[in-house]
Amino acid sequence: MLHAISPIHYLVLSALLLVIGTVGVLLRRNIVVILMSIELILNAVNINLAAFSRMHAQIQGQIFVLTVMAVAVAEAAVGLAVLIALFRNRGTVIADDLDLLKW
Amino acid sequence: MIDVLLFYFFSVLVLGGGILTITRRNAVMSAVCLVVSLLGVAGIFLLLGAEFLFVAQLILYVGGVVLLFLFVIMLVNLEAAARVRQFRKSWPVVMLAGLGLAAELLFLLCRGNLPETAPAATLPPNTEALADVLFSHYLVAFELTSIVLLVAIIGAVWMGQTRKAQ
Amino acid sequence: MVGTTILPAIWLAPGLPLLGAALMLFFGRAIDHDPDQPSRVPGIVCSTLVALSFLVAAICAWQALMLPGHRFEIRGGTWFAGGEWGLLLDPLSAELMLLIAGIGTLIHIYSTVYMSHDAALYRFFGGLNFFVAMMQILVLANNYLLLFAGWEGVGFASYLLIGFHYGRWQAGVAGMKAFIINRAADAAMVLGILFLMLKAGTAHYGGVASSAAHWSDTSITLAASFLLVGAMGKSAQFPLHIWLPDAMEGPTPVSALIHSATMVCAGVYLIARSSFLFSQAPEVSLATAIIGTITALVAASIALAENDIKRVLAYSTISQIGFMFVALGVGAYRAALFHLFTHAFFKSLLFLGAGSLIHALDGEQNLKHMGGLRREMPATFRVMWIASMALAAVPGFAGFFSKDAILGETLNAPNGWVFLIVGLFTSLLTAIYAWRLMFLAFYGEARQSRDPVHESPAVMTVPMYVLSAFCVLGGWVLPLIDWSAWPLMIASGVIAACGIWLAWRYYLVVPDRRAALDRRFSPIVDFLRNRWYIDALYEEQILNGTILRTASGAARADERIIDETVNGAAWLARQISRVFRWFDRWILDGLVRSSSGAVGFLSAPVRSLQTGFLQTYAFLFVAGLLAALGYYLTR
Repeated sequence: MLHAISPIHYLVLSALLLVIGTVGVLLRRNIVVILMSIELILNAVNINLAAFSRMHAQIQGQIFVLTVMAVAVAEAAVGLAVLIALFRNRGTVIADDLDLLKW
Repeated sequence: MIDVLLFYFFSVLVLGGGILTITRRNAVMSAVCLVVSLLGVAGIFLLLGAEFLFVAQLILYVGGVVLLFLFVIMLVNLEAAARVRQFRKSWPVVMLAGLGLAAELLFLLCRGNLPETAPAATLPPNTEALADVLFSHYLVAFELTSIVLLVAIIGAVWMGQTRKAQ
Repeated sequence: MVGTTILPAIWLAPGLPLLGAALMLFFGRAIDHDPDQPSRVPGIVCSTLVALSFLVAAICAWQALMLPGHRFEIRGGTWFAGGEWGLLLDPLSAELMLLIAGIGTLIHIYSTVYMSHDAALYRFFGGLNFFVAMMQILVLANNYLLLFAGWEGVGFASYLLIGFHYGRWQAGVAGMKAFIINRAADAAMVLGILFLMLKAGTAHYGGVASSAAHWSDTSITLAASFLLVGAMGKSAQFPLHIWLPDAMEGPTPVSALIHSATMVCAGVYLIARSSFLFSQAPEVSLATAIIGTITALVAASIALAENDIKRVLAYSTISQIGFMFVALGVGAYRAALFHLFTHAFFKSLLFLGAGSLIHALDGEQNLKHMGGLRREMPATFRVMWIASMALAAVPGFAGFFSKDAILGETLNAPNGWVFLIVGLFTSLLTAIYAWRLMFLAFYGEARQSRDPVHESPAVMTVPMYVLSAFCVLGGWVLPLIDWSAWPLMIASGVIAACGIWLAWRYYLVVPDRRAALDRRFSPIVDFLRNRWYIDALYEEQILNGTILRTASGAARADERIIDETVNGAAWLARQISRVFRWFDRWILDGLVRSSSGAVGFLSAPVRSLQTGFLQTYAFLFVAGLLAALGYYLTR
């Protein structure tokens, strides 16, 4: 394994980071940390895209990464604004306390 | 050889930072661990020859998004949230699902017929090449992204502002 | 049709204010929900709509006068037998349409400031817009039925606006008084219109006119009498005038627009519109002239003794409309409308000026408590000076020419000299009470200590300046001025000067001797202060006497006959409803309940998935991903 770094290494890394992020989203009760976990998932995707870009010697993959970054920033901004509004109105950041969607 | 060592170093940063991010009780600690993980990703970008993404990752994520998280953590009173149970009661099921997902993904990657070595062909100087493509073929996408950002800014400001109680 | 014409859009003249009223009705509360911070939006919206309506009216009137025959008519669809949705624009309706929209616009603008301290302005401006719309329908209608719709509409708007401050007991009572007296008169009017429709088979003016040419004298007299009673109610003519002074409980802009300039002149319009009937009914015309004379004299004399500034103006309005009725009665329809035109300007200006005073004095309406306001409120003083000159019929001002036209025409009638003499005497009284108001309010010294008062803002004074220009220029309608009656002009000029001089002597120069004089003539003064005991007469004789006796008899009949019938019907209904209740409870409810129960039962497994927890949904998503990947891998 030590002799060379192949694309498969990057893909495995990306997959593991994705799993960590997913578990974080499902596991944690604090919405702030859930949002952080979503950032981890997006970074896993970015690693994947960058690796394929390298593999195919095509720059387009990196364009995707840039777009994902922009969307991730937008998502973080909006998500955190919602969080602040939520905290102001409900006084909590625990996801389990927010069950208004219930039938 | 040094590449290999760097890859594993950064991988450890990424995965370790990630695991710590989702397990810390204190949200500030989570944010710090997130910084570590994101720095690792930046390093990975560098190894992949994407210097521009490296810089963007540092500025946007480490400089921007995490800072945003820290601000929000300051605004939101997290002491109450830190005292309660951090994990959902269904954590065994979630862990099982996570392990299953990991196994399936790894199996998928092993079965896939991917080349063992990176292609020798090197990309042209990264930032210029990126700019060439971004501002010619992907100009519309670029502009649309800027609109998305604008909408997000306005939306965030509107939602975040203090309104008179009804 | 020549060139571009917007005449078919004449319906916008009432349509735009009606839109404003509808907006205020449906969205007013949403706009103006905070009583502590009245919104300016209703005022702006409604003023704009009325101004646009004026624009439409002005262009349409101009284009209609360009047409051959000076008239334009839209024949609409049938409303119901004999009635139709049709609009008629001829010089008569054009004059009133422009008057209503023009003065309406100015008063809307004035009100945006005058009323700015009140809550729920959407009710005020909505009512005002509704009034303008209904008044336009009244004057633009081409048949009696549509006219009657507008007639009732303005009555309702008047009721709404008199009672705008419904928290005050007097305001609510005054609104009801106006409504009830008008209703009594309108009953006669409905009879008249039904009679016309019965005889002519249509309510259309032209149709009725051509048909009426062949009617017997009795029919025409009957129809004209009914219409006259309706007109007397709306125009506050003796003895139905008592509602108008009480209507002054409404906000001052309402008094200016509805209870002086436009609505109360609807009776004059009705008679002028029905001139083909009245000119064939000499007895009714004579009655009109006599009623007008009595009204003019009585109201002018009461105005002499009133102390409430708005009531002085209200009696003055009644008196001036009396003059118009005299003109109608002697067949001088043009002179009546001429006086209507000039009176609308100077009387609405007087009301707006009075409103400006009341606004500055925090609601003080008693003339005895005013005085010396000339220096503090120069703009209001100037416009009131012009308006009072016009009201006193000083030569050169608007009121002079129109009143002189009326007095000049009286001699054409049989025994016209009676009307002329009484008219000249009333003119003297008019000059006295008009200038009594001016001297008491503006001249001399303040008779009561008060906080420093300030002139009203420009939004209020500019509309007044516009109106004052019309008070000066509005009389110079040269085709209507008969210069050959110059001896009469000189006489009435002298009378106006005498009146002003008397007022000046009595109220300004010798105020000390006034008390002594008042004591010496105390029977007359008391008589006038009690308004000829007309209101008291109504109250004692009619309300407490006849009506009470009738009502108690009716109540007994009600108990014995009607209540028993109603109770029997109720018993029957209860028995029937028992059967229905059983059916309802066991059959209908059973169906409804079982269907909802079935849905609940069948949805139970799915419902348990809908926990409402974000992360449960996320977990389901991941589980789906797992399953999809697993399927892909094991395929």
